[in-house]
Amino acid sequence: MSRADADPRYPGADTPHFLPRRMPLGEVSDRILTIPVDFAPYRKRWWALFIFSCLLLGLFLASAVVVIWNGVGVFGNNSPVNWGFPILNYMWWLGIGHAGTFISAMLLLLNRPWRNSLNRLAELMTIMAVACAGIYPILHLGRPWLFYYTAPYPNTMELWPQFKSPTAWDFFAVLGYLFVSLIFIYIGAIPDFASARDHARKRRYKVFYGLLALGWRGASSHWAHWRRAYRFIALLAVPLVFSVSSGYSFLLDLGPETGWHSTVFPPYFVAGAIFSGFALVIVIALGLRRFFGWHLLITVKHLDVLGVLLLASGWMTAYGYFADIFIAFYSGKEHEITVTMARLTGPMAWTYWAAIFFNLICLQALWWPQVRRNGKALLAIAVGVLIGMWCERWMLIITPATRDYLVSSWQSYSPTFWDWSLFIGTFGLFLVPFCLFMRLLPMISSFEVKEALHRCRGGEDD
Amino acid sequence: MTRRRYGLLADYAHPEQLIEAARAAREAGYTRLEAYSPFMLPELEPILGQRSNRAYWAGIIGALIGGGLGAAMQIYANLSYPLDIGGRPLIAIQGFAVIVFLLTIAGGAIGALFGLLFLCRLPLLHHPLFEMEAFQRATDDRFLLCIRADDPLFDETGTALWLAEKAVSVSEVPA
Repeated sequence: MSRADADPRYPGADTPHFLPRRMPLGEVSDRILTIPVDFAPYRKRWWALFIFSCLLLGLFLASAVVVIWNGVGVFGNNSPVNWGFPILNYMWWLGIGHAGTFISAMLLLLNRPWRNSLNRLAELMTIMAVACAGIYPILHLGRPWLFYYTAPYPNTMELWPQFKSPTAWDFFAVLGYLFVSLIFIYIGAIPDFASARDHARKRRYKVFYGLLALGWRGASSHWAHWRRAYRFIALLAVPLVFSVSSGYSFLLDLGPETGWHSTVFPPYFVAGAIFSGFALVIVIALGLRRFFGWHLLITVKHLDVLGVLLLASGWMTAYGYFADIFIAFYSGKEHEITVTMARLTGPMAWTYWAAIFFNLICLQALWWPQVRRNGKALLAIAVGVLIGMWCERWMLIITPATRDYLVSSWQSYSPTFWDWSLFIGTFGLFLVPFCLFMRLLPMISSFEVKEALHRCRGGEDD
Repeated sequence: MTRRRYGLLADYAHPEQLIEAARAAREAGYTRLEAYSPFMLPELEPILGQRSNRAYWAGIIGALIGGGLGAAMQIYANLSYPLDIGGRPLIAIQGFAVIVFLLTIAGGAIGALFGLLFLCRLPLLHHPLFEMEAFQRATDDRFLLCIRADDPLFDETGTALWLAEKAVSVSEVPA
């Protein structure tokens, strides 16, 4: 390891991909692809993380068993707050997923070579986050083993989903999103599986990566088809990002609940989704950077640019806060104003002000490059945004429900022990597969990094 | 009778050399050749005559099938079990658009995936090149050119000598 490598303040080179201009191609493979086949230096740390994640997963499984055994009565939801933690956490997780697709697809189409250090981990984050989100509606059904009723299939009962309902849209949105993300990450990883196959020395790794690589040889005729297929899916994935989170904002239109019908919701939710996702990408990028010592591949400049993206998407979300409040007062509807006042000053006002504090006030520190380039400060702000976005979902979903039309049916909401344990458990559901990916997959797309290096050298390759 | 071989494999250290060699080989009249690189080199496509938009078309056809199925499913379900809710239209284009859109995208991704696999003839469990020592670095940092033995101009010594002029190494690939 060179000195520059060990130094976390290594600034990143002045190239479009932020990597040193003269970095040899073989070194990229050495830094990325040898990790899964020669994991010894990371084993201890990995096991610590994996055991911790397994404990969380255990908590999740125990809570899920309790929920399935006893029914959804163990949740704190009750009339009038019929949508509590399950929907809140569902939207929070699903939103987080969006940044992965945004980074890998949108920045691919916009031709930003620095994305190549981040796309793999962001895509993996998407898949795990969508899985964590998807489990919530299933558990929330009451009879989760009948969840397949939501799928349209020919059956003797002649029952079909109500295709005009946002709940049916949601089924297609989550499943379609998971599916497209899986295909996108798999196609994007085939050449890396082939590299890992050729790097592996042990037979079992050769077979494992060989099967995943499907016999990829890097032939130029294959690349010609590959790059078109990859770009095509990227082109599809971008509108999908926008449609999925606007889709779940339509879920809120289902009920006659005041405060859930603002027309700003679809763009507001898209911005919020990407915002919270960037925050988790920052956390994961910083984590992997430290875990694998990838200071040369995920540079300070990457952190800087992620900080800028977080700041920008934060302001887009902030527009949603302003528009939502403004429209409520502008409408002049009494109940609309009551609900908004409950958000601003009611017993649950802390969620509103926590969202404003983390997502708007703390975020402004990112205007300073020193903050964006400081790993610890950036981490603190990103974790703050994740908390703030969670509070934002609370104030959007739960607070209005506590203020029903009749004062006699006003009711507070408090999550139960199982609400919390299931939510904390979903982090295990996220982390356990993520640990396995860290162990088995190249977490940075090595061939795309090599390509970026080659393009930037522009002919004088050596 | 000679032993069967797949072709000759030349090994280059830099992408430019590979592109140069591929161009020279085409100019020399070789037709059955293939270049291998660890990352995509779109410059090779016109040289080797591999410019093809069939992967896009696979995706587009998949998208059309997905969207078509989405529309057909919703229309059929509503006609087969009509629900009159407040006199709203049975076939509601706006309401159906969301699922049609989502299935169009899912279909497009599936089409692109299967199109890619079909066009590249993958999965393939074994290939003569995998036996080659030199090919181990084709996915790492080496750039290879393979002239196949069934090329009309292929002549073992002549082609090998011609390739060896610029390559790091030239090796024979047994079939």
